[in-house]
Amino acid sequence: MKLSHLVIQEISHRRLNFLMASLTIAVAVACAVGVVTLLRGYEIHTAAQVAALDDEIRKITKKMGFNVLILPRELNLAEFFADDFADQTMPETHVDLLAQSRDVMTIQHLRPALVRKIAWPEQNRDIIMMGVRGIVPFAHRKAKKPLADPVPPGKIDVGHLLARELDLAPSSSLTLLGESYEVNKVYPPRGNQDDITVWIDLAQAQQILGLEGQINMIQALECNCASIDRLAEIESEVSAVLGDQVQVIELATTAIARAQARTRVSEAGAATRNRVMRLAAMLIPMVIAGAVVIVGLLSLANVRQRRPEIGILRAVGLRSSQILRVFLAKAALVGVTGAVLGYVIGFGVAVAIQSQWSGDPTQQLGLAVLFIPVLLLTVLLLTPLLSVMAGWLPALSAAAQDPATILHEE
Amino acid sequence: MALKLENVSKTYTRNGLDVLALQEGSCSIEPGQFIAVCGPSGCGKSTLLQVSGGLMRPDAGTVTLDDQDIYALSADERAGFRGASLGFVFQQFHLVPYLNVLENVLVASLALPAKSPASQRDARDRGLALIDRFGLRDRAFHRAAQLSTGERQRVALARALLNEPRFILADEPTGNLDEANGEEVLRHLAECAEQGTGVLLVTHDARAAEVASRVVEMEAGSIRDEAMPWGVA
Ligand SMILES: Nc1ncnc2c1ncn2[C@@H]1O[C@H](COP(=O)(O)OP(=O)(O)O)[C@@H](O)[C@H]1O
Ligand SMILES: [Mg+2]
Repeated sequence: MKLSHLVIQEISHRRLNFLMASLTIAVAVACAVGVVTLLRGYEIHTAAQVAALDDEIRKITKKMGFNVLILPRELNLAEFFADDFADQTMPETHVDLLAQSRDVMTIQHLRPALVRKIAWPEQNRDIIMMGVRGIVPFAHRKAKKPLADPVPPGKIDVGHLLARELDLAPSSSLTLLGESYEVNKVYPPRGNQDDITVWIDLAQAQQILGLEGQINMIQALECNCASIDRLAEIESEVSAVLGDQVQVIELATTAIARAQARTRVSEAGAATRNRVMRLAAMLIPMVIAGAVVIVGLLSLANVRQRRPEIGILRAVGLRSSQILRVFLAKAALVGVTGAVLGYVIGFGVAVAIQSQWSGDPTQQLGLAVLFIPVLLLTVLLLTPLLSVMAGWLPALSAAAQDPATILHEE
Repeated sequence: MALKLENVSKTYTRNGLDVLALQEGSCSIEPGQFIAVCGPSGCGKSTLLQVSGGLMRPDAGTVTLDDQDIYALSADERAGFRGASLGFVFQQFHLVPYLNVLENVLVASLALPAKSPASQRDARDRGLALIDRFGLRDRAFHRAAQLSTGERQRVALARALLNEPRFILADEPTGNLDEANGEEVLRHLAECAEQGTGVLLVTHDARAAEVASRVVEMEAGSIRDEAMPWGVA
């Protein structure tokens, strides 16, 4: 027979004591594991939401194009898309000034353009012609994937409605004001004047209109970093560079709403996470301390109950270190059982709670995303240690019991 | 070869009052002897037994085995000495409630240092033989609670004998038993003495005188051993 036999037999005999101690540990472990697992799930959930909104923003922005226009100051907005279209222009160098500036933070993707409503004599209809060049990169920022491509000279991009009515497709050719162009791209429907617009190389457009070096708008995309009063902020940044020669208008788009939603989601996510973390940082140590006290008391009760047994074991010749080992081994087993039980319960509860969330990330990604190996390892190593610590004093008192006193008591 | 007590005294203090439980008692026991210490309840018999068995340090006097003062040993060494050389039997049996009969007997083997598989098998064989000898063969795998009091005391006796001790110290082993079972236990103790084990029995059971090789009277902490000149109080 081995000493371990005593431990196992005692546990199976006094199941309630073992069960209560293990459950106490399990509750504490379940709390910790549950909170940590939930936080993990919450992070994944928030990240997924933000990613979905990001994706949506990208899609919408792609469809809607730019949402900020920088126009010459005198340009009458009412005339902007009117018949004779605006005459006012500004130097193309404005865009370079903006791109060189370190102060312009709230907009991105600068694209200079010269736009006019013109008659298309060959087709006998009015269209909007837009001369564009590629995105002008900001000098002091990381390069971004351009939102729009330049149109090479001699090529032409065609809006949806025009392409449909004139039966145009990429690489078909057309003649405009006596020049022939090869169709470069046909745009999907956008539901605005883009559908009756053609895009050509900026220099070519300037030449056609006799406005070399001139543009009449800079298209841009506001970034997500601006505050609520974003327009004023953009205006002040732009006018710091270009003075009062320009005006800024904002085209309200769904993209802005989504961008705001994204900001809200990620901010709310971080805030909730911080709140839960703070709460957990207080609660978990308290629960663990409580468990240690309860397990300590249960161990003490166990030692009391086993006094006659301790007496006879000592009389029979067991050393006090052997008695100590019997009680510490039991405490360790309590810890292991509590750790395993608590981990399973905590993980299960966290999974159950998450399944109630809309867009539960585990549905797509599987339960594995919630599994944190370090957490399992920590729980399995630390819990028995904690349990042994809780049982330490009672075990010492058991080992110190005087057999003569115990045996004489009866 | 003898277990010797010389002028041992023990005083308890309870509620500020001193109780002299053992008064310069002397006594000696050799292997193969069966000494019965008889006396009324409260005269200090249990105290004498515990002092003799290395369970309780006396206030004065010495307890020696083969001229080794057992209270000069460390607590762990004394535990080892008990495990190897002594066997105890108590009135209350003191079986471990969650172990079966065989396991209760084998508990004594936990005190021995050697834990090789061979020695474990040895201990198990000795345990089974003792269980057989005390008529408990059918009960080997029953828990203590399922046994009669007579059977429990025989399990305790088997546990005391497992390590083949040189001395058995028995404290009122018949105190909780009916007449027949009490006599059986006394008979087994006498048998042990015949086989060479020293038996120190403390009891107020008058039948002990019939089986013991020597009877020592005890009264109010004094032990009157006619065989020992210095033992007269
Ligand atoms: N732990 C103790 N504290 C105080 N007094 C004790 C203690 N143990 C025994 N006594 C007293 O010592 C005396 C001898 O006790 P004991 O050795 O148990 O006698 P016996 O076994 O002959 O009945 C009794 O008067 C008893 O009350
Ligand atoms: Mg007594």
